[in-house]
Amino acid sequence: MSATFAYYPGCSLQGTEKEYNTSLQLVAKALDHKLEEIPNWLCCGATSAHSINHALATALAGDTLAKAQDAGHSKILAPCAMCYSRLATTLHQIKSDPDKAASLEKALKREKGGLAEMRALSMLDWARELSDAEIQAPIKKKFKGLKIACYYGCLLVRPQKVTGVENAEIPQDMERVVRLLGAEPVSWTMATACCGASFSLSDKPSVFRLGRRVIESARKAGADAIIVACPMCHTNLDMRQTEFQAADERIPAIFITQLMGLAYGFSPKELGLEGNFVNTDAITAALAATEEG
Amino acid sequence: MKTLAELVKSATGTTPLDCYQCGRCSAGCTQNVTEGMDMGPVRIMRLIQMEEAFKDQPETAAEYCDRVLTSDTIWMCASCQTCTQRCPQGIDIAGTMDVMRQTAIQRGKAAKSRRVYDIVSAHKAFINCIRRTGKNDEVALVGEYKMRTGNFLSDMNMAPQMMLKGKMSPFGAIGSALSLLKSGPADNVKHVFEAAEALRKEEEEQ
Ligand code: SF4
Ligand code: SF4
Repeated sequence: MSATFAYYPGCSLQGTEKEYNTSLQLVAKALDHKLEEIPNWLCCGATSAHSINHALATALAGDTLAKAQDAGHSKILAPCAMCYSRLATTLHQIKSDPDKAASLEKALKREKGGLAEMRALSMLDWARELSDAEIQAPIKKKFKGLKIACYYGCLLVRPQKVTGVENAEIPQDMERVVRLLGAEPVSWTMATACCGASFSLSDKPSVFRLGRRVIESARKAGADAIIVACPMCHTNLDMRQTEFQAADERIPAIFITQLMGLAYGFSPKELGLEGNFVNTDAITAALAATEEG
Repeated sequence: MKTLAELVKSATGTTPLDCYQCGRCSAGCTQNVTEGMDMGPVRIMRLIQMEEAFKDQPETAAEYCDRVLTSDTIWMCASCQTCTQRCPQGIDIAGTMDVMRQTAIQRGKAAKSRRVYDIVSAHKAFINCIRRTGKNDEVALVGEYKMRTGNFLSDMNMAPQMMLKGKMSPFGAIGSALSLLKSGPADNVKHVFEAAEALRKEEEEQ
């Protein structure tokens, strides 16, 4: 079914993780989804703003909601888990407390109100809006024998009162997509553990310690690859992995949209797979084997 | 001066005073169980309660308050939300950590350890990036972080590979470096900093 979203790509998708944007754009087109980029959007403030400047974090999220509203939208798709969480958390606050909604609107000098009626969608929400048939319709080749560890991390699922996911401890949204593409999701223990991405710049020991736990758990479960739906998780589990895992103990991590894109017939190059630091041949090989032409 | 519990209540609508010390937050805290913290979130909650309990003895109360604000824990918290998700008392523990970090900065109490200094520097560099351009320019962020911390060599090993993978362009890097010379909020983001100031004032008056 065709659908239109206000699109909030966020800073990472314009910078080091641009492959997420490229692959999402291709997949969205295949699904007949229109992504209309929010005009003049700003950074969500990420961990830093909510950590040391709560008011700034709220104002930044409010600005994005306002710009999407002014562009005539009610639904914002935020592929970055951090951007999504900032919007969803702020929406949760202003939805549950009308006074907070009023102060935010006043601070942003907005008369028209209604900010609290906006909706933020994560990639999980987005996938949930698609029926099985819709996800399968564009498939050109299915995967065969490919074992996938679906990694959710933190902010796509927690806290439940903000994300509205059905099960914050054992979510299954990405597993459903993986199965529909012919691949096999593994059951593993670190699917919703933190990978330490927020310390990517500032505390390497945390990144290595927490990142390694995730990679090791996926390997133990027999996964050939990890899929993610967050640019920061990707930086951590792909680029940083080359710093904390020995060369023969690595496992590729790609975006869920890259996995979908491969099944939809886009080339690894179009989907930006060469941007990965850890070799992704295991994934593409599992696809070629079932070429149906 | 407001107590920590009062600050948490007004920011999150929940209160650490509801904590009955079950320990579930600490047991599931990624940083705590991998020994990345000097104390788990359950102890932070207790110390906040102790400050409140000794409100009529300002010196003792201040000691408890300082133990929270000067801890490494509040900075080592990864904001993963596991504690908030699992707390049987519905306390926003991750939100509490945010309030503690912000308060530690405001009162000049942030721990002086090297790792906390690096983490605080990264946060400040990040917010300055937004102030200058409205976005997080990764190269400018790394540049300012290095200037603040003197960690000039960290990540230099990744730069050539990142350029090779098209994740960083040499020209972009020069533009980013030049953006470091700007001061004051950029035109596209001025209104947001003004809004934040208005929100902060309003919160203070309450
Ligand atoms: S989980 Fe909640 S009630 Fe239990 S110790 Fe932690 S804060 Fe207290
Ligand atoms: S949000 Fe912070 S305190 Fe809570 S579980 Fe995660 S790292 Fe621990």
